[in-house]
Amino acid sequence: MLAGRSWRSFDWLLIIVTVLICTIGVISIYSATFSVETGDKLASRLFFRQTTFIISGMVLCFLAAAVDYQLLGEAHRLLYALTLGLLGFVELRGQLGFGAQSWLGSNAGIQPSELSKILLIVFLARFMSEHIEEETSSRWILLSGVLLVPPVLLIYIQPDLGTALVVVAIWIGMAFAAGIRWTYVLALGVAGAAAVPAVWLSMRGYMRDRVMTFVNSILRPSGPEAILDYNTRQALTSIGSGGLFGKGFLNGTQSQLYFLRVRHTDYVFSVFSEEFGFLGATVLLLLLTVLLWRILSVASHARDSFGQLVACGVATMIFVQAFVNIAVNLGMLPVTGLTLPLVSYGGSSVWATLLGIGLVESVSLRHRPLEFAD
Amino acid sequence: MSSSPELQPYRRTFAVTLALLGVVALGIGRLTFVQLTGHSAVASNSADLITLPAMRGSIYDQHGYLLAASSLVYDIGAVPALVPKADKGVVADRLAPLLGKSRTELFDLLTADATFVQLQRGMPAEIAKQISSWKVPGLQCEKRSSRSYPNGTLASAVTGFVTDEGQAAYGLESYYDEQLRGCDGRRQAAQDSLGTLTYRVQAPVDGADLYLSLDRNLQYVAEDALARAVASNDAKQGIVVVMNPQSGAILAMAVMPNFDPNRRQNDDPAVWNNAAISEVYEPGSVFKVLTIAAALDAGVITAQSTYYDSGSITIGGEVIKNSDRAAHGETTIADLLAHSLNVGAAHVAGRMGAIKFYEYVQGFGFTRLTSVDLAYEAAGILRLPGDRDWHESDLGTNSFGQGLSTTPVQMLAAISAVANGGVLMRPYIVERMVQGGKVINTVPQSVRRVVSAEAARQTTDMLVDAVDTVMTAAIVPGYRVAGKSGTSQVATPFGYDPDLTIASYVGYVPAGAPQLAILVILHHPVKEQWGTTAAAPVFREIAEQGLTMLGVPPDRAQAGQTAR
Repeated sequence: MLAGRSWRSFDWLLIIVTVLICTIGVISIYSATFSVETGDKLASRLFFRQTTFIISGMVLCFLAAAVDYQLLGEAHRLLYALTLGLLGFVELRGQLGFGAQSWLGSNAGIQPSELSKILLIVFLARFMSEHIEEETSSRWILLSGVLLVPPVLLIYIQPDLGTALVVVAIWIGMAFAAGIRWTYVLALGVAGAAAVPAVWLSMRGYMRDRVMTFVNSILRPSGPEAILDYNTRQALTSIGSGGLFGKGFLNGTQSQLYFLRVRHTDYVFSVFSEEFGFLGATVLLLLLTVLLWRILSVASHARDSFGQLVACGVATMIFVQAFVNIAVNLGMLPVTGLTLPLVSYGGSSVWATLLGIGLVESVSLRHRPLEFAD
Repeated sequence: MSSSPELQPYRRTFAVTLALLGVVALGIGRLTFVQLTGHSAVASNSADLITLPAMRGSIYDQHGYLLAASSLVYDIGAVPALVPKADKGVVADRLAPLLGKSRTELFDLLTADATFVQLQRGMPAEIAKQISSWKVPGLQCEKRSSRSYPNGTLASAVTGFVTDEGQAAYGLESYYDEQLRGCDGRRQAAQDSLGTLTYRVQAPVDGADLYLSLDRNLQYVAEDALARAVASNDAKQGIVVVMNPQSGAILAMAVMPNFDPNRRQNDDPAVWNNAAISEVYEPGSVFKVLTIAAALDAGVITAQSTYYDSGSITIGGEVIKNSDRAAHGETTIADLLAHSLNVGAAHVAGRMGAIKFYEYVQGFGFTRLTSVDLAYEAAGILRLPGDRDWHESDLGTNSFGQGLSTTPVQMLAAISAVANGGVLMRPYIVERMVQGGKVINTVPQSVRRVVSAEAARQTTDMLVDAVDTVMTAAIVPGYRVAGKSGTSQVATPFGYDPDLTIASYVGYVPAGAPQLAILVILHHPVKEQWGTTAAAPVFREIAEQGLTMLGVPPDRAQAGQTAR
C-alpha cells in the first residue's frame, strides 16, 4: 500500500509516547488489582488482559495508519449509518454493564459508544471539509451538529452522559478548527446555556446527585468529611498522601487496602499518583501533553482540511477525556465515569483510542509536502 | 491582519495548543496543591492519625473504696491483605494460645476477604506487646480503655455501666459521662514534600474521678437486708434509699434484682433501670406524714387537735374508708398517724382545702425532678386543681398517698424535709469531683422551706410515738425512731389490682437530729403484704447497723423500752 520510503513520515515520537502511556496504565492496573487477584490465572488478570488489548490495539493502529484516510472519507455516509446502527442495536439488546446498556456481546464485549466516537470523527471531518472552502461553511458546520443529535441522544439514553458529552466536545473542537464564525460560537454558547434546564430535567437521579455533591463542595468548603463524596475523598487522600516521590510500587495503602474504589478504571490516576507521587503524576501529564502536541502537529501539516480535522477530532477526544478524568480524580469536576485514555482498564476504550492514533498516523504519512521539498 | 480563509484553521490550531498548555498548567498546579503543600484536609489519612485515648475517671465511695475503674486493654485486629500470605499459618499458630481462640478460627479470619478483621478484644498489655514484637505486617493492637467494677453487683443501680464500645449507660456513668470521659488526645502525622515526618500531638486529658457520698459498707448492709426481704417475701422488686436528711447526701441506694455491670450479656435490660429514681409508684400512707406536717404548718390543726372518725368520709362524692374498715370515734392526730387512718387524713386535707393542700404537696417537690445526679430521673404524676382531669375527690385520696405517683427518691426527699426541720434538700450522690489537682466539692443545697421547724418537730414527735406504740417492728433500741408505713395497691389500667400491694416503710433516726432517712419499698410481696410487716424490719436492720457504722450516739436511755 505504501512505499517503504513513505514510512519515514511516520510519527515515531507519537507512537513511543503512546506506548509509554499504555505502560503506565498496565503498571497501575497491576497495582490496583494486585491484592485481589494474586491467586487468579494470568489470563484472567486484568493487567494481562489490558496488555493483550494494547497489543491488538497497536495492530489496529498500524493497519489504520497504512490505509489512506481518504478512502474512509469516501465512505463517510456509510460510517454515519453504521454508527446509528450500532448504537440503535445496543439500545435494542444491550446487556447491563455498570447500569448502562452500553456493552455488546455476551462476555466482556465491546462498547459501541467507544467505537462510535472514532466513526463520528471521520464522518464529521469529511462533512465539514467538503464545505470548508464555501462562503456558507459555518452553516454547514451547524448542519453537521444537527446530524450529530441522533447518535448523541442514543449514547445519552444508554445512559452514558460522559461519552455523550465527549462527542459533543469533539464536535465543538472540530467546528472550531474548521473555522466556524465567532458569531455562531456565541450563539451556540447561548443555546447551550438555554438547554441546561432541559438537560438537568432529563438527567437521572444519580447524575444530579453527583453534580449537587460537587456544587456543595465548592459552596461549603468547610470540612472535607461532609462535603465530598466517598470516592472523591479517597482519591484526594490517595493523591495527596503520595507526596513528592510517592509510596512506591504496590505500596499505596489507599489502593492496596481497597479504600479507593473502581481503581483500575475511573481512579487509575489516583493509584498511580499515590504510588509514584508528584513526579510520576507530572510525568504522566507531560506524556499526555506530548501526545496531544504530536497529534496537533500532524494536524497542522496535514495535506488537506479533512486530514487536519480528523487529527483535531482525535486530539479533542483524548484531551477532553483525559482532562475530565484527571479533574475528577483531583476533585475539580463532578464524578462522570469517564476513563483516562490508554491508562484506564478497558478493551474498547484502548482500541478506540489506538484506532484514532492510527488515523492520525495515516494523516501524518500523507502530509503536505514541505515548501523546500522537490 | 485579515487572514486568508485557508490560514484561519492553522491559527486556530495554535490557539488550541495555547489553551491546552494552560489546562496542563492548571492540572500541575492542582497536583502541587494536593501533593506537595501537605494541605492537611487532603493529605491526612486515617492511618496517619492516632487517637491517644484519655483514661476514664474512677468512681470511689466516700471512704475511697473503688467502685468503678478503667484500665487499658488492647483489641487485636488484622488487615488480611497486609499479612504476608506465607506467614498466615504461622501467625495463626502463635496467636491461638495467646488469644484463646482456635487456630482454624484465627486462620479463617486472617484469610478473610475483608478490609479489617477483629481477632480478639480486651487483651492485656503484655500480650499486645508480645504480638507487636513479632512485627508482622497487618497485625494491629489497638489500645482502648475498659471499665471494670471490682465490687461486682454492689451499687450497680448507682454506677450504671460502660459498654466495650465505650458507650456509657445508666447511673453515674451516664450522668457524668462528659466529666468521666475526659478528652481524647490525638497524634497527627504529617509528611512534607521531602518525606520528613512531623507530629502534631494533642495530649489526652484524663477524666475526673468521682467520690460519692455513698458508703460502701452501708450499701452492702442495705443490699443484703433488701435481698433477704425480697427473697423471703417473694417480692417482685425491692428498693432502698438511704439519705442524710440534713444534707440530701445519698448514703446507699439499692435495687433488687440487681445486675453485675461487668457481665451483662444475659441481662434483661429492665434490671439496668434504676427504679429508685426512674420508676414511679403510688406511695400510699407514708404520704400522710406530709399531709399532717402541712396541716400543722397551715394552722388548720394543732398537735392537740382531735377529729371524729365515723369510719368513712365523703369528699367530692367519693366515699373514703379506713383500711381496717372500722370507726375510731374521737381521735387525736397522733393516733391518726399511728393507726394510719385514711378518714382522718382526708378530713385534715378537707379542712385545708385543695389550694393549700396542693401548694404544700408541690412544695415538698412532687411533680418536679429532684435533680439528683443520676441518669434518667422521672418526675412522677400528680393531678392539680385546674387540670382537666383533676376531681375534687382527688383531694381525699391524695391525702393518704393514692391517686398520685412519685419516685422513691422524691418521696424520701420529701420525708427528709420533715426530718430536717422543714427544709427540703436536693438529693445528691457525688460528694466531690477530682480532676488533676482540681477538686470540686458538692455543696448541700436547700431547695426551700416547706413547713415550719415547729410543724416538722410536732410531726416527728407523733411519728416517734407511733413507732413506740404501734409500729414496734421499726424500733431501734437506744434511738428515737420516727417512721411511717405504707401499703398501697397496685394501679393497673383497669383499676387497682386486688391481690398485689406495694409495701413500704419510711423513717429517720435519731429523731431529734436525724443522720439517716431510710425508705424501703417492696413491690408485690407475697408472704407479708403490709408495710409494717414486710418493709419495717428491713428499715430497722439498716437503721441499726447504719447508726453503729456512723457512730451516732444513742439519744434515749435504753432501759424502760419495751422489748420487741
